Amino acid sequence: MGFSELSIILGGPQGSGLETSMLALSRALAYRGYGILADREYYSNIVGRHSYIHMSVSSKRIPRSLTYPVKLLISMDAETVFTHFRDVEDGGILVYDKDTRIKKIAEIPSMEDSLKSRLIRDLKTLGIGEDLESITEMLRSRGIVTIGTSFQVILKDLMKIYGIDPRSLSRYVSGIVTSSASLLLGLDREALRYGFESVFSGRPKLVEQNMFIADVVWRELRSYEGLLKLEDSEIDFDELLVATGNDVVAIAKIVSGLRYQSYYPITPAADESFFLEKYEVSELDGSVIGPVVVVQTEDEIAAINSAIGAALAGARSATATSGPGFDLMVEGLSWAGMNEVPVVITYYQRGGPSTGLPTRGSQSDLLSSVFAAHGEFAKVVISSGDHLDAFYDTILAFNIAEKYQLPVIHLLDKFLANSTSTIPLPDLDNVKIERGLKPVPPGEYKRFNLETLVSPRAPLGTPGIIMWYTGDEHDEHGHISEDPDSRVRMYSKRIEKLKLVDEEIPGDLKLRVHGDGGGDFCLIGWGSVKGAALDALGEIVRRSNLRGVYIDVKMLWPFPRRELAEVIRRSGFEKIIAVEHSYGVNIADLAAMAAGIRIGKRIAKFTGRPITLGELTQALEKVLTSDIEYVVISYGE
Amino acid sequence: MIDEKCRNCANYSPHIHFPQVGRCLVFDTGVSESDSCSKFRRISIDDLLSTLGREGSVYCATCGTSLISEEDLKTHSRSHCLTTRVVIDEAIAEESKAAD
Amino acid sequence: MESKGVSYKSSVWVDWCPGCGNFGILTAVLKAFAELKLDPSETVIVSGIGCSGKLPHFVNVNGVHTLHGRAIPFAMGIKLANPELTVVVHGGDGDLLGIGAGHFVALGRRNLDIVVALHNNGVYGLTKGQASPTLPLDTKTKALPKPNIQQAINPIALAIASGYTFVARGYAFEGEHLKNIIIEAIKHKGAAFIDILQPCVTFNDIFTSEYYGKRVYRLEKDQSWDPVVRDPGERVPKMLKAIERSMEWSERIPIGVFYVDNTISTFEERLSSRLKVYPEINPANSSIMTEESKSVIDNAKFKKIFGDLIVSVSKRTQGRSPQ
Ligand SMILES: Cc1ncc(C[n+]2csc(CCOP(=O)(O)OP(=O)(O)O)c2C)c(N)n1
Ligand code: SF4
Ligand SMILES: [Mg+2]
Ligand SMILES: [Zn+2]
Repeated sequence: MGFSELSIILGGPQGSGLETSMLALSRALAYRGYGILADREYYSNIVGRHSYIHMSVSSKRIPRSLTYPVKLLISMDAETVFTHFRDVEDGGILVYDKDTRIKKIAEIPSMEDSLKSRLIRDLKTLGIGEDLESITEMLRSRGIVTIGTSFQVILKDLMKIYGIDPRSLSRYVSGIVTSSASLLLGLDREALRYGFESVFSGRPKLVEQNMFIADVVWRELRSYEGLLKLEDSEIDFDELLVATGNDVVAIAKIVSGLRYQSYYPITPAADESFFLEKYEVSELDGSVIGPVVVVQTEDEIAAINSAIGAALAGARSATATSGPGFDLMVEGLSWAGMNEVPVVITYYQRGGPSTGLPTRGSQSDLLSSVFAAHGEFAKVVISSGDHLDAFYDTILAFNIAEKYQLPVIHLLDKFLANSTSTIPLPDLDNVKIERGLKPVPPGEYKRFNLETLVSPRAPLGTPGIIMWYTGDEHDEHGHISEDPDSRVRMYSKRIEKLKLVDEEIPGDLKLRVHGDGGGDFCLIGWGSVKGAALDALGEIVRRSNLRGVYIDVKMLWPFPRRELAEVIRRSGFEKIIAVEHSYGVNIADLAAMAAGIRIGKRIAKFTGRPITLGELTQALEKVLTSDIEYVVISYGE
Repeated sequence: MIDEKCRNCANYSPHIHFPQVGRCLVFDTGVSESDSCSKFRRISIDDLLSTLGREGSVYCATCGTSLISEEDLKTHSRSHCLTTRVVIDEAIAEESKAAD
Repeated sequence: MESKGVSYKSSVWVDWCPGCGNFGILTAVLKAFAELKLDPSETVIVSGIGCSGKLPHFVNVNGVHTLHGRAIPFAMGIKLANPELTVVVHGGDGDLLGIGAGHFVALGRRNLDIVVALHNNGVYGLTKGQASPTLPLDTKTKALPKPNIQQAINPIALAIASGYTFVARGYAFEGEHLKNIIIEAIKHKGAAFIDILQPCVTFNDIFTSEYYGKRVYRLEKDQSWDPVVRDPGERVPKMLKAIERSMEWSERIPIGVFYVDNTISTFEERLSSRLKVYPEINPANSSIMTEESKSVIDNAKFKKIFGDLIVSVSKRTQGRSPQ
């Protein structure tokens, strides 16, 4: 017997090798067929501040949500223990560096004062000292196994044997973390080696040295081996893609035929462009796939406008950004609407306003993206609930953009961008590329031909024809025209294309109902609340016998008003609750405005940390069993 | 035929909105198109072509438009009053509204 | 498109003020295109917003009239996606050197093969004559209530400092000379900049055709003037010389070619060293789908391309060995 599902936190100072630990451990777990979901939390800082990985591991399925408390906390430093000791389950395990045991909370410079005083206050009321040793003592009294190991001793040996430059110590600290996690979870050393090999591919020395660390860890912590042993995996996949949301979107962009991507560096979007650059061109069996021209522009204004330019020349084209960058792109978005340009903006939300919480997640830009840009014109906004959805939705974004000749915003967030998941391989046999390219009718070419809502589109450079574009109101040729009659026809055309989108896109791509369709309540959300929402539904049934469904609104604009009204009418839910990573839970207002649906209850989280299962379940119970209409949740440091 | 009036003189610059009056480039005074004087020099096709070549346009006071091609110049010159300069009214700068 | 005998002038009425320097620029463009026999369907004029921004509508080649200050980014996307196109940017001084100054500088860093033509009239024409970034300090043009309290940018020096590899100045009312500069700029491989002195008859009563007529002189009249860098060693001295010449702005104003550097790689070349297949295979002409509307990447190719991220599961219980 072992564990089928558990949660882990790995923590340490930013830049200390945590990322590497997470990658190696994820790969090792995936190798043995486990499903993982790992959220990456970090400060807006390059080195020194606390960061951590919150991971769900399962032998039964691919985890969808993050949960507290955790079974295992592995800390590289005292700050991690101070920050997360309250998250450890009774009977869980803490691994820490015993050389830090005399550290006091007050002595941690990187820790924010407000957290320090909260902790000190709490410890005082419990009558516990403010140093690491007192805390570990208290944890032991709660039945938590505390494993103190000396990082120093392990690293000293390593330096002696391999003559390692102390400047690269982080590469090895990560090895201690990965190895101890593997040992406790009952992973074998072959799997661990696989993890190291895939992270340090092409650097065999690093693999050897990390395996040396594994040997030391295995020797030192022998008595704890398999204390959190995972059951053998029942997940039935031969292959798993281990990737972040950024990776998945980039992969999907390449599959969808992206050929131009512009970006200006911003968290949490830039990694997507890095990835694209790495895979910009592939030559396979004599055929070339690509190239994707990836350009780091001078600002987001140039990013969107050069992407529009590339689209005019016929390339599938996109840019990726976050709130501050999107704000700068808005004038270009309006131009794209005016000129019916298929361009995709991948928008990873983070905490605002302004630079806000630059490295934390949010869904607070829903209304900003739906209503962005001056003038009225058709644009489409879609969202994705998880990694696999994001893959297919990225392709959908391009298909909609090109078929209807309009800008599409793919609204994602930092949670998805930076979390790593084990993902079943997408099936490309079922993926269609739709470019909406109709043959250009013979005779004089008119780019904005009014005979159809969507005019035949020819790229700049098409032999034998020329065309004009302008942000001013224009005639069918694209020349400036302020004639009221022409204005009415052109203006309406651009707006009414949205009706086509609304009518032609299958309902399943606009909104997905999870659950058996009926029940006592209905939870509505979009984007990355999906996983926690689905798991919370299960918890509610288990605990209270109330049944509910989750409605994942995938297409945010045009809002699926008919589809949503239909689901709600059919089931006659008594209670409708919206959940969102924002203060306003703005999807409720959008539904009211666009579909006339009143959503009476709202669950909000805006700490920048992801909604986790326990807090969402509790909040749901609260709104379901009382008159309370608005609940704010905030778990997690 | 031998109409030696300002309107046919190379030194006449008509007003943009009221081309019947304008400015004489020699005396730098206001004149009317039907005035005349001893400095009269008939505007020639060569004058116009040379301005067109150098400055990119000549002005047809009859049509109230700039001409930018030789063909247009030749067509309009048969019966219209063409000039190399036009008087831009001071009020334009003050009265016109901003655009774009 | 058959370029023989095509008329490069479109049928759209040119609504600039009569006598505006823009007419000289437009005519020079039309003549240059005709002389180069550019294929209209392979030529794109990209413009910003302003009086100058209307230019593409008057020309029978592809025209993209964009946003205020943003013509260069649009042009970059177009050119990178389809490097076969001839791309020429037209913008005002407010457009290119005020709101769009960042893009102007960035294009120099890239040395992308496009031409930027600056309609330098010292004012914001289309918004009624406010001071533009090229209007000197203390100057009071007609529409300004008070003299200008900001200094002027030197566009030639800025272009050279930014990395443009062809830098010249023309005068709107020296049509033949300007046409020749435009031809040279289009032929040049790399980012080309032309500062075009453009009288605004309505708002700029200082930098008028009378003002320029007395002052402009041609650099090339000076036999010893050789602006071309043929060897990297000549770069710094020639740059300095060109910048020094660009400071001349009082009794005499030079027009002509200030600086040409053929020793610096173009952005297209830099991309091609990275992408190999570029520019022959480029975003505009590469295929993305099969005849059955599938992606060119099928399941098998997917595994090959993204193999680094795919883990082959090897469960202990089933006794499988790693593949
Ligand atoms: C973002 C934005 N801000 C302001 C304007 C208003 N605007 C239109 S044209 C113009 C200035 C034009 O001056 P310039 O670029 O020198 O062109 P010119 O008219 O002199 O050719 C301005 C500020 C605009 N269109 N867009
Ligand atoms: S306002 Fe000036 S720049 Fe604009 S068209 Fe008139 S003269 Fe030309
Ligand atoms: Mg200007
Ligand atoms: Zn006429």
